[in-house]
Amino acid sequence: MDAYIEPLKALAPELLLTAAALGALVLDLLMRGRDSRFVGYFTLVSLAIVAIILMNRIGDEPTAAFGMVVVDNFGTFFKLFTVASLAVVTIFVLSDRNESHHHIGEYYFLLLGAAIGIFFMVSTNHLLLLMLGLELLSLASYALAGFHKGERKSAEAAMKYVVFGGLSAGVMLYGISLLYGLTGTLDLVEMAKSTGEAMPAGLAGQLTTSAVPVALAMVLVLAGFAYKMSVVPFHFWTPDVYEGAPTPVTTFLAVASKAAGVAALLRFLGALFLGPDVQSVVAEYGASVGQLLAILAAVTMTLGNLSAMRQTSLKRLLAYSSIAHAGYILIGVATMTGAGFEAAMFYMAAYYFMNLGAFGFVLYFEGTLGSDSIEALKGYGFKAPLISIAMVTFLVSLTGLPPTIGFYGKYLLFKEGLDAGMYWLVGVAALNSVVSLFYYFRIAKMLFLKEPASGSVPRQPLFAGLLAVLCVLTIYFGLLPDAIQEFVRNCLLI
Amino acid sequence: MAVVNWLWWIPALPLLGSVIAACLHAWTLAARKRAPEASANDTDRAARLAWPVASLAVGLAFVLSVVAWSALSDLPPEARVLESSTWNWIDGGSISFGISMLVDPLSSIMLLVICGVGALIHIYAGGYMADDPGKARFFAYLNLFVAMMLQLVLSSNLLGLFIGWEGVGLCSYLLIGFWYEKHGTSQAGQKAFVVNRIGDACFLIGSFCLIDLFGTLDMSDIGAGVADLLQSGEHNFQISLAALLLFGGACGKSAQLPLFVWLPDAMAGPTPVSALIHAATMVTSGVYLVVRLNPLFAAAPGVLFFMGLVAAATAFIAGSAAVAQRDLKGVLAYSTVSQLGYMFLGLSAGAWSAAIFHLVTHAFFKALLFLAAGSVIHGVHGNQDMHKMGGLRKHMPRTAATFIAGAAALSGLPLLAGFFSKDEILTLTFARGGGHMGLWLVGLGVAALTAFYSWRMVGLVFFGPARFDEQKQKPHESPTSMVLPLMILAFLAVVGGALNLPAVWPFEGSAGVLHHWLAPVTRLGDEILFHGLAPHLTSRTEYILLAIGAGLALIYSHKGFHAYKHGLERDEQFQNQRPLLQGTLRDAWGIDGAYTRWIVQPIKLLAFCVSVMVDKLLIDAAVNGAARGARALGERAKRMGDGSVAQTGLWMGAAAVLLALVWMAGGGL
Repeated sequence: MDAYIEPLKALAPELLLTAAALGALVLDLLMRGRDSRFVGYFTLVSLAIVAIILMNRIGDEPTAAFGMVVVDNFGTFFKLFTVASLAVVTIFVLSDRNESHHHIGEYYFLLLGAAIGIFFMVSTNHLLLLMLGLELLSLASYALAGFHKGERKSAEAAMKYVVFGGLSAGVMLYGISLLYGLTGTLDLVEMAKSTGEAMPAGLAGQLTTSAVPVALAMVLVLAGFAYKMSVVPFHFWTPDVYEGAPTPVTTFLAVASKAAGVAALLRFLGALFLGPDVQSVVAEYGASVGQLLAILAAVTMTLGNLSAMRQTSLKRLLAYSSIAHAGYILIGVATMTGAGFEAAMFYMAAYYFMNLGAFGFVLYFEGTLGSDSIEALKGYGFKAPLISIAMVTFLVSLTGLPPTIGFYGKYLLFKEGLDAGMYWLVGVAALNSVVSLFYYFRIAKMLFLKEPASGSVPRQPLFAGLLAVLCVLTIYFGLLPDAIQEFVRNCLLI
Repeated sequence: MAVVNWLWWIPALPLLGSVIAACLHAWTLAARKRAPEASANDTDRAARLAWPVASLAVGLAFVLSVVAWSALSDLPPEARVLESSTWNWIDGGSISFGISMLVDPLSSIMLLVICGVGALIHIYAGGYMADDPGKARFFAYLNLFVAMMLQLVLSSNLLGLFIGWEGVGLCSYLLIGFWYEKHGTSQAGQKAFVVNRIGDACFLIGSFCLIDLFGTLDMSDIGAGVADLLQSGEHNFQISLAALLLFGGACGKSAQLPLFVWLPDAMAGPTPVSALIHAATMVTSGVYLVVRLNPLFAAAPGVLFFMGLVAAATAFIAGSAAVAQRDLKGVLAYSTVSQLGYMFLGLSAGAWSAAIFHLVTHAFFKALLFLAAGSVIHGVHGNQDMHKMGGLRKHMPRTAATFIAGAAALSGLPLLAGFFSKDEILTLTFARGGGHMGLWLVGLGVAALTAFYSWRMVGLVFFGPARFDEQKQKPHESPTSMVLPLMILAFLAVVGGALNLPAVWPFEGSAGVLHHWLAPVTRLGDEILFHGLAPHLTSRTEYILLAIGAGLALIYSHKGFHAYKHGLERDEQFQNQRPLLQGTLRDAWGIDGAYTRWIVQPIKLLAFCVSVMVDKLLIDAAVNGAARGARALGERAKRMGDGSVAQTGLWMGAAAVLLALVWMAGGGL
């Protein structure tokens, strides 16, 4: 009996989330859809409980469950990240003025379902479970993107998302099947460990004969991660979906879903190339995969930043900005060192504060003016000074200027890039930061440009308070990054 | 060394005051917008609170400074350091930057001066700015300045110092251009900003040199590092380079040649600003920097001598320019530049504590002179031209008395503050011998000039016939809130010399108090520079030097006063007989004009050419072409996005294959 109970204990957060998702569905039925906000509060409470369980796990020895699930600090970091962003997204949904708040209980159900997918995605070394988690996340995301099915843009966004998602998933599955064919296992640790004497040849054996099939499989699998992280050239869906989806969903996709992609990529690369029992020829091959990632990083940040410059919609602009940030994060990944991965994880934490804040501003702004065009921002800073100042802080952080957390995150990434000898990449990234200054500060300028003739902004004190807290934390952790750095260091993969 | 956690309150208090004042300003603006018709009396209620809040903030900071000072004096001399908890801002493996606060004897003196004089000037400014609609904004800036200045002197490393250094520069810029509606003030602000950037660039490059040399920016570590480096016998060119560059930074902030041109223009700001920022505190931060890093400078004697040359030239040029100014604040501005030259002259002779002594007494009497001048200007309704004043002692007796006390201290009349501090610098320059003898002679000449222009000012402003319409203008004495700080400062300007009496002073133990207080800070620099053999003079020589100083001051004060106490004849005579010399002196030897002609105008021309040729013809063409191209591409992309998802998928696949090929070709296989 214990053989079943013990692994179930390890899965407690996942089980709780599943229960919460079902509970949300049932609760909505019981309420007969009168006011779905109650379901939202229920979701917040469940998330808080899950978060407490996860917090208590930090620092525990890694354990395994059911052969496929790995419970370690790295996974816990990203699970906490997911729960924390989901909590903020839930508050966003609750404060969304464009939402009727009737009969939308399944909104929360879908969000929780996506979270379950992420939870499994980040806690496995087995490609099958990873794929399942990814698909669960994707299915929930498709439905969320098309949540306003009556709106043309939302429906179009969901459609595009489904088609590109299906394409990428197919490509990735093909890559995984190739890897399975080459190595005879789907477990990444096994794959990296096998000496290649038995048949099939194993990764090491395959690399010594010919690297071409491995390279092909690598490219195909990485395409799947790149799609989730919106890395060029798998980013085409991003601007349309970000623009069409309801803003809280956009926030979820930009923060939690992207983080899941980063986590899965780190896990994949870490287990395959940087683990303790990895064959030397495999580890060497890892450096060359790093080269591919460096190319992707440079292309992604450049294209993202250049496209962002001419956008007229704030949501589209932030979509391109999030593409560019995926490029920055890839710098840390491409170093293929523990310190580089640490920098990438730190940057995800920085990304959490500044992007949640920026999207929160968009939601607030949309809710009051009914538009997300940058032109409409003119003079908004005089109508809603508090949240506009907070927005400027987020923009400063997104640009990477001190004294914000974005500065420190970029500093770490650049430093690791330089330490790994990727001077050209850091040069490109620095130039990109300058370019991004241009379009981020165009927003700041618009906010405080000449005063508009009339109109006042309805107040949402709790929502504004949340933004203010994010703003304060953006600066606080910019000045005292130690706390987060320590936390990240405790949750390292390698 | 003692660790205390309240040091950060010292800059935090004025910072808090600044935030409150800024809120009061915003409040006032909102009130004015709500009721555009209402009188200022009703709408500006909030703004009137800014003065007490700001003064209180600086006053409390002064109390804490006194606490810090007394805590220091309870410790044994070698252990006189208070440190507050540090936090690591950037931890970069081989190098890390912490933010920490440190009070040692040197910074405690600076704290007392900044907060003490600062508090007096805040009190004074309440009366001076009473009718100004932007007074809350003014106090927000002024308090922010004090916070930044305190950050500058409290930081234990160059990074934190640089934050304060830039912060005071920013506040100076904002305050010079405070009346930005008035013509010329914003230009003056910009000039100060631009000129200071040159110095700041030197400062930064110097800091990078130091990081390269010692791997740290912590100032006590740098001192120890210099000593170690010298011990190892390596003659290091980089030390001299770093010292030279940092001196360049000090030149910008402390208005030395060739970067002094911004300071006279900076007088466009309100007079309390001139007193606080451009006389008593900010402009002395260059002196502070050199004393703080005295081991570094001591290890570069060549740079020190160069510093002496620059300082002597600055003192002389500015001192002679002060003689020919008509603008009351202009005289004081050039006089400040000249006195800063004195301080650097002392530093170049290794007289660290003498320079700080002069810094302190100068803060007293120059702040006093500026504030009294402000009181005069206030009393004659904004007139600053001394040729249109005269006989004002009858109308404003208390201002006149305090101004005369300040002028006497500045001119170095025996037993006043300026006499002792100036004499100390000159004596130690003399004692250094060698090339410094020449510099000493220049210093003597400047002392004569100083006495002359000080009393010329007194004569022109307060004596002689009134050269304005007394019926129409009706000059008046300033309110008590303005005169009271004057009296306190006048008292300090008279007795301030007691801080550091000369070694030949007859009473046992009363001499060199400040010198002994600063000894732990300057010990290392003295060892490196003098190898334990500080130059020593016999008491007879010292007496003679004192007598020379006193004699010069008396003679030239007398000359200046008597030439001008009856009217303008001497100025007219000078102008008519030697128009060329008068013009040269008035324009400070044409240095500012030379900048305009040889630097500013060519750059403007270049900028014009660039704007026409490069911008219009090259970049615009390229940008417009690119924009046209991008638009066309955008059309394509739009069709791509609109039309079929399959086409987009094709793009995706093609790009993926391309990137994979690039990778494989580049070594992925």
